[in-house]
Amino acid sequence: MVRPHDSPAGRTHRRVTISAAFVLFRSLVLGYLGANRLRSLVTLLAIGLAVAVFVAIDLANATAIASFASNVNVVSSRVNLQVLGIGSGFDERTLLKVQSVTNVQQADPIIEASIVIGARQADPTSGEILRVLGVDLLRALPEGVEQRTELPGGFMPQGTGPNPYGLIAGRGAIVSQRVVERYHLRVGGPIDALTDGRPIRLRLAAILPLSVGAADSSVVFVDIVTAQELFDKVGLIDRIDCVVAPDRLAETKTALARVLPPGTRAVEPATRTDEIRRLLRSFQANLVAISYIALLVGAFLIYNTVAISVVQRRAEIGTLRALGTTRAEIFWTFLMEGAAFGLLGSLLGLAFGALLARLSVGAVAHTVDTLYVGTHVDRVFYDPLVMLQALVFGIVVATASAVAPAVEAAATPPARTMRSRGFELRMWRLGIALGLGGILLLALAALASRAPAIDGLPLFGYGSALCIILGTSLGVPLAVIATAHVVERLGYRFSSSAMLAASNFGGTPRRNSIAVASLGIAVAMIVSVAVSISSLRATVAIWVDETLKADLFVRPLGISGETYDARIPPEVPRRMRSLPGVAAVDTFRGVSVPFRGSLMTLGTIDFRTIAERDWLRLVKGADARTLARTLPGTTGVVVSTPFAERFGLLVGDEFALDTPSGPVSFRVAAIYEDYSNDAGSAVVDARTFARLYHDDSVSMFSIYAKPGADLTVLRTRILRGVAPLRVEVRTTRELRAFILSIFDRTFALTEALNVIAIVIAVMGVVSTLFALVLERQREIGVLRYLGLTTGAVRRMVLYEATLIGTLGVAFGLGAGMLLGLVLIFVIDRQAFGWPMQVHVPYASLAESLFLVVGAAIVAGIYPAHVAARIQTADAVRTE
Amino acid sequence: MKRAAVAAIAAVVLTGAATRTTPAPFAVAKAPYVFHFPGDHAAHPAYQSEWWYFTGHLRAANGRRFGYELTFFRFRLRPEDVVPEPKTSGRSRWRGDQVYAAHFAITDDAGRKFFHAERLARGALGLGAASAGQLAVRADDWSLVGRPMSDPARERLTLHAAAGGNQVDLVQIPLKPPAIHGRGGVFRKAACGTCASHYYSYTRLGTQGVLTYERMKFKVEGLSWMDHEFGTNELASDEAGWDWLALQLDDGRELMLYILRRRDGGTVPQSAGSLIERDGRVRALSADRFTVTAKGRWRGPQTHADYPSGWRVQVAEAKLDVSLMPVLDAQEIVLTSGPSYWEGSVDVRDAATSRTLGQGYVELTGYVEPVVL
Repeated sequence: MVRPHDSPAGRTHRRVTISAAFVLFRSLVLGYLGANRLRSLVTLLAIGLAVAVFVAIDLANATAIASFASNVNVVSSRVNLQVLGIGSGFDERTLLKVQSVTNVQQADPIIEASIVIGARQADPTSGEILRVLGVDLLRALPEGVEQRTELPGGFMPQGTGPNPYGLIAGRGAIVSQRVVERYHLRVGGPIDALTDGRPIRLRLAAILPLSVGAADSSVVFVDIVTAQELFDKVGLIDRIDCVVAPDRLAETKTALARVLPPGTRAVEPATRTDEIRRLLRSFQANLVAISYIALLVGAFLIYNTVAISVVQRRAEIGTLRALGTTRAEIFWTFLMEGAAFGLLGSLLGLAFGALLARLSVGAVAHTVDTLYVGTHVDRVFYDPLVMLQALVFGIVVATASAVAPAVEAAATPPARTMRSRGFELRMWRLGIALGLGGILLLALAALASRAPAIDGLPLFGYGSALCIILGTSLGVPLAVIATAHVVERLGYRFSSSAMLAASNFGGTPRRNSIAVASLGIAVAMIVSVAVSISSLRATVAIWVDETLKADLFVRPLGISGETYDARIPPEVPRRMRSLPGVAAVDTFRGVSVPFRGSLMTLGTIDFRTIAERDWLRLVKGADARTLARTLPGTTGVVVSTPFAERFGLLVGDEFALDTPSGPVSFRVAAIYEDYSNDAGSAVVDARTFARLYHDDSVSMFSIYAKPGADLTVLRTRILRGVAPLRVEVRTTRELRAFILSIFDRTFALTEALNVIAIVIAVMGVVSTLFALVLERQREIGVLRYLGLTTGAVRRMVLYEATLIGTLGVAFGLGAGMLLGLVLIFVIDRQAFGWPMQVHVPYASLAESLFLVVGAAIVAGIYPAHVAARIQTADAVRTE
Repeated sequence: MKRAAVAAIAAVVLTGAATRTTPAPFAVAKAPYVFHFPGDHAAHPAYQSEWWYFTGHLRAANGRRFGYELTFFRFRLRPEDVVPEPKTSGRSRWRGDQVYAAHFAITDDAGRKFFHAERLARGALGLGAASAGQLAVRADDWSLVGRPMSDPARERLTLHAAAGGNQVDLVQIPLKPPAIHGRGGVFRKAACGTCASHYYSYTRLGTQGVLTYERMKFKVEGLSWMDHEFGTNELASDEAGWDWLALQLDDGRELMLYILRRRDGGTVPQSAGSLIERDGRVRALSADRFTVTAKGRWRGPQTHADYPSGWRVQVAEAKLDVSLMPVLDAQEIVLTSGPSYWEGSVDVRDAATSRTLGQGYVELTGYVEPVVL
């Protein structure tokens, strides 16, 4: 081989090389792209879409966290230390102790509560939960309270600002513009709402404009007097926001720890956000993993595009090399092509993603609000860091995808070489070698799937998934060659078009392999996600059936999620016991408490009755009979499987919690199955909780009807019996449907993302077929000359599309099943702690796979049309 | 600023003319009123507003000069602003109809700097409090305590305030008895029935203590002035605010002038003052017995208020013709909790010879917006 210009100069003067590459880039690449506008556009769109998915998911995650973080700081951004309690508040006189600590410049008491506005009995989910902050309005007036001089007695006549006294008077509340408009509130007029099902009335004293301050639009401010008296918190506060000299933060924290009562702690505001971040980590990590896969499919596409352009310009490159262009210059030129696709595609993706984020943010925020922590998102937080990261990521991935084709371009010898005789044999050998590599990767995947989670995250699980994707992809070339071989043989019998298609298919194994692999990955995603979601849903459905043993379930009206610590006075369920038709009443209580840097749910039930009720699905440790005998009144707990999994606790282990009665050690007596949350729950006996937390209220209760009792009549009796409390009463069937509807809503976004990945992959098919048609222009011309009809040419391309589609789906199905198993038994298990039974949704899966094959064939229509238009004379003239 | 600040907050309390027509359930300043000490040093919670107002001039051992202001306000809420008592639930300890505020300022002559801070505390949980039995006032951790006040010879008043690396811990020793302003124990502010207050001053307090300024401690001593004033609905609706001057002359006399301004720019005829002789005797001065002429203007950079700055003060019967020059122009107290005002340390010089004759404090209210009190 002649290497006229492969001199050291090329390497030592890289800058010269690169600038030369720029010149080349302009002539070689831009010209080419211009001539292949449609294909370039498809590639750009696909990369854009991939980056968009990435951006949308990251923005949604960032927004969910940011909206919570801002809520932590709603009253003042200067707050740099917070004193927090557990459960239902701590002694208000703690404020005086905090104030007396040196370097505490400001200490504001805050009460946190929730109200439900707009709830209708007919539709329990109709209400909106507003978060109430009770503050000392005389001195901690939220920033940006709108001036409303027409408010009688509410504001200073001179217009210097709102009159705090007016805000305090008559249970005044400061409400956001959005809520005021949505519920048609009037300044000075009443706001009717429910708190823990109890009707209350506030007065709209001032309006908080949306554009001001950190508070989101679901926050309502009231004075501390109103808050204490209305929310049954007289003598209590929930937190103290402190402003501390910034250079004395650490020592002040220590000093505070010395004066604070048990069950309270002084933390920086970021700590609370960090706890939420940890709580949401698994949920968010799974979404991010999907966005990475979209990016991976995009990377395949870039590889494909650049590789095709290299092949198509082989002659040109050979000529350039003969004229003295160095290998390095060629290499950089094609790398730049990849980078250019990355840059343009990513920019497109940013714009696209910002739009998509509006949808994804809503979906993510809804799930977070329902399942994890009360939050309301008013606007997307366009985190510049996320945007920058996506841009860099897009460019890096695109450039990296172009490395291999660029190396190949640089290896092109100066004169055009013909395809060697040994081509076919070489392809077989290469295919087998890659296939062996794939098997190796699959073995690695199997190995990784057995490794435990790292710090609660299934990192090895993700690694295993990646190995499966890459491993099966490496098997694709061999499959392509083999399939082509077989179909070519069979094709003789059917049609010349099929035979030709197969021959083409096997003749350009690399390009086709890439198209098949990227389609396969996208399909694998669909399959695996569908299998794992359906498995989880089936498991949850069974769990719900076994857990919901009571006949009616009662809780305060208007509460939609799991995050609400409702408090019903204990005498209400007690009263229900004497209603005619009621056999028994079970009560439940749940509070969110900090645990090991995250949050957990501490629940309470009456353990004395659990053996007869038999609704707790105990999987390890003591049985229900033993628990009923030994647990009541003690600090023994049963913990949920996610809890045991997340915190690595076994039966017999102990863990400590800070309670208002000081630190208490709880012993794990048994483990039960629970799919209601992945945060993890520990359940303690109701009387133990009341003793330790000085709180005997209940969050919800369930009712067992006497045999033969009419549930409709009983429901009416309950609604009347709890008055003036307003509650929602659900039958077992209604509650079951409700739980499953929450489930479906939670996974709606995941499924939407899948569809996008398929769209990207189908674009890859279009791009590949296009390239093949263009490349074989001359060949097709000859065929036409030899008598092949336009119809046959068209069919040939469509057959090839069918081959790509079918093979892609076949591979996707195989890889997807493997991925599904990894998701079910490794990733979801480790991330959420949910054991699952496998449930394959055959019907819906078959349906979507047929759709994908169909889409691949449809993707072939336009390239087929182009191929059919190739003119015999033009193409053959050169031959 | 006593009044000013007060005003600030109190403005809030009374909202405008509409409320003024409704009968006030508050005690009002009425003649004759006979002050009894030490009882009248303490709080008078039946009145709507009340303040204890300290200004003074301190000198550190190294000669560095500071002016300071520390004022405590008490306001009583209008009955209609008090949240109705709960019928079903418990009663919050945060209830209460008294609110306390305090302003703290330091004028740094050498550094040409002015520092100020404010506190607002409700009369609940001991956050803010003013005893009606003895002189003990607090707003958060800032406090004013008088003890033992029963024996005039041993009376001591202690002040404490701290904010942002600045702090005062001062002991005040009265060098003269309280000077009662106005006539019959009542100081009139306008023609209307309630437009008056009960008002007395310690015009000469010997001050000792420690001043921490920008985290540096100075042992200081000097002279202070205390005002104590209480009343209800003190200003007429056409009044904008007041200019208040308190001069401590090196010859042992003090002069207090209280010039009330109308919203249309005119002077209220009830404006008055007091000349305190060396022996403590108080001579009441009506508006026609003194003239005060502003010599310049100064605009507050944050509030854009246009204040007079520098004055000539003439009181013929006291043989006084002096010019007042602010130690620093920028002595404006910008508040979040009420209308801002200017309160500053001034040098008192002979108008003709410019010889230093003493020192003083000037307060300018109602320049940002009319004060409602």
